[in-house]
Amino acid sequence: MAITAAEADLRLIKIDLIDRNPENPRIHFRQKEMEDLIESIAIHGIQVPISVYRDGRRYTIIDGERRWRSALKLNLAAIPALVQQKPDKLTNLLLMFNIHALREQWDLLTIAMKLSTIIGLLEHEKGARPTEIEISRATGLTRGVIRRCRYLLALPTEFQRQLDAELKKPKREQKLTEDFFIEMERALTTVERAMPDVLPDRSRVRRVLIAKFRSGVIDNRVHFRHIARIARAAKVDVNVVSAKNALEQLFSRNDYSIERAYEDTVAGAYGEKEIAARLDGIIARLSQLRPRDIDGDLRSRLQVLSQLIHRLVRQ
Amino acid sequence: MSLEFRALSAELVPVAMAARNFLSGQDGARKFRAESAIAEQFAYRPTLLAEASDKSLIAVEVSEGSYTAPLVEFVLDCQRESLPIRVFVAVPVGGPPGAILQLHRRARQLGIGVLEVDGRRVTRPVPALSLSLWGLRPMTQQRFPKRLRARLSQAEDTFRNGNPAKGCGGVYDALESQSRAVAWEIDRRRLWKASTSRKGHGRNWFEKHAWANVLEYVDTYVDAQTMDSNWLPFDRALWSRVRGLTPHRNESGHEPKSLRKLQARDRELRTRFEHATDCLAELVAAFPRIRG
Repeated sequence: MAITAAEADLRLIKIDLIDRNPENPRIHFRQKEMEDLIESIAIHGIQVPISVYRDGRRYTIIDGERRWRSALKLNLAAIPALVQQKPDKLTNLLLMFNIHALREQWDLLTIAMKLSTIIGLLEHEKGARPTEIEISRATGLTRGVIRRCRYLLALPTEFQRQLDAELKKPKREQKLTEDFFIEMERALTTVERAMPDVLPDRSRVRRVLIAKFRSGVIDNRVHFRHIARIARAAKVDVNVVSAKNALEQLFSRNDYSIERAYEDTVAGAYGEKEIAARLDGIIARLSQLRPRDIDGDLRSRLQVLSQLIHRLVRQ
Repeated sequence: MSLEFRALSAELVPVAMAARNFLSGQDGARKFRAESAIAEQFAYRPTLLAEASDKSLIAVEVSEGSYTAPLVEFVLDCQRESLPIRVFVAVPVGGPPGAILQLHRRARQLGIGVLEVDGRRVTRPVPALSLSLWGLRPMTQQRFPKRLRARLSQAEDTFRNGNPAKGCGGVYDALESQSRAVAWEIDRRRLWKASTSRKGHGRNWFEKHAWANVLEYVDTYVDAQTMDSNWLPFDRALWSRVRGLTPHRNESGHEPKSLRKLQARDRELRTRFEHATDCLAELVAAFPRIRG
């Protein structure tokens, strides 16, 4: 299945004989990035050959579509290319995934959209649904990336389109990012598991949260992690009814922020839990010390701590 | 006809199509091609290339609002080659105001136009000029006395703004006026050869008679040796160069029927304009006290 570089043939190919690969998972080529590459190629030329396969009298790109587009724009007559054998559909896709996996140039959504095709083709080839490890081996993607892709794949078309529209914009103008949707989906999945009754219509809630993010009521996508904490209120002995009430308000009221819902419910409990966890660590360390191990600076800090503890415990 | 863009980002294709519709409707541009080369020697393929009704070319580069070095190089190549082409940069509206002003300023420096696209609505805040004319060597105003500067500047603008024959006419007017004044001054000072049988050519003759004849008369009968000591020596070579321009004085020219002929005409007019300007500067320098 794999094609090695040794089997490839380096040639100068006329620009107009080359076509883009219809299976290329990369669907967005941002203009600014293209312009930067065009400027670079205008000065330095094409330093790394593109990879193509022959298809009749023409050639199809495996790797190097941006270089080819830049060469076309610069009216270069020909471009250096490694010509490989024509691969089958799965090999074609996997070649591109493996070539690009480490470059972090592709948008996650573009990878996700092609990943489902790869999973289908791998299933057809081995006769069973591939495991995450098998997908990772075949594509060169880490399991973390595959999991993140799955969140995006599971989004209804309406939200995939919204994300797609954002990704077409220059990076600095993008408001809704892939990370936003992944954080939101993770949080909603936790709510669905812990409190399914507050999430009867997930898409309606998505719309509310997106609107809040756009208007600035939610100003940091990391705050979605607080939603998961509110949903797990029972774990920190917080009244589940008040947590549900806060989530219901969060999912319906336009002015109610995640931070406020968090403060209104579990912030105190998680704060205590955090202090307790740190104290456990400190107690464990202090119990190993002998009086002669303590120098002046540490001694004075322990004295301050001791006074604070006495005051808090007395109250 | 549908256009297939291979290098343009998908999100900018609507901007390209809006620009095409605008230029087609407003300027009668036709035969649009996508990312097509003008010729092998031009190291750039603009997003759109079309033909105007006068056979000149129209190019549109779709961008998010910046100029790349290869685009600027392309514009300069067009100027060098005297290519009759108007180049526009089409940008989507909504960029920062500072960047837009910078875009307009740079466009004016290069002689290219700007199209701003808001959905289907297109505006043209900066018009494009034909680069075959824009490539004219800039006139150095300091070479001329102040009284001539305004009319020469106007002639230069007329040339660059798409009427090269009329622009040349403006320089010829100044040159004719200056050379007739020199001729009359020679006559007034009786600086003719002794053998000249002058039969009373008055001032009116030097001002109204056919320009070519006046120049020829001076060339034939002037006595360069007896020139006033306040004058520079009479420069016959310069006078001959000025005489060489008279056949083109009233040429209106025919509309070129192909891009190649248009390019040749513009190149020729550019040379004539520059040559006439140089002659005028030398004439003024040779006879500094004479006001045409």
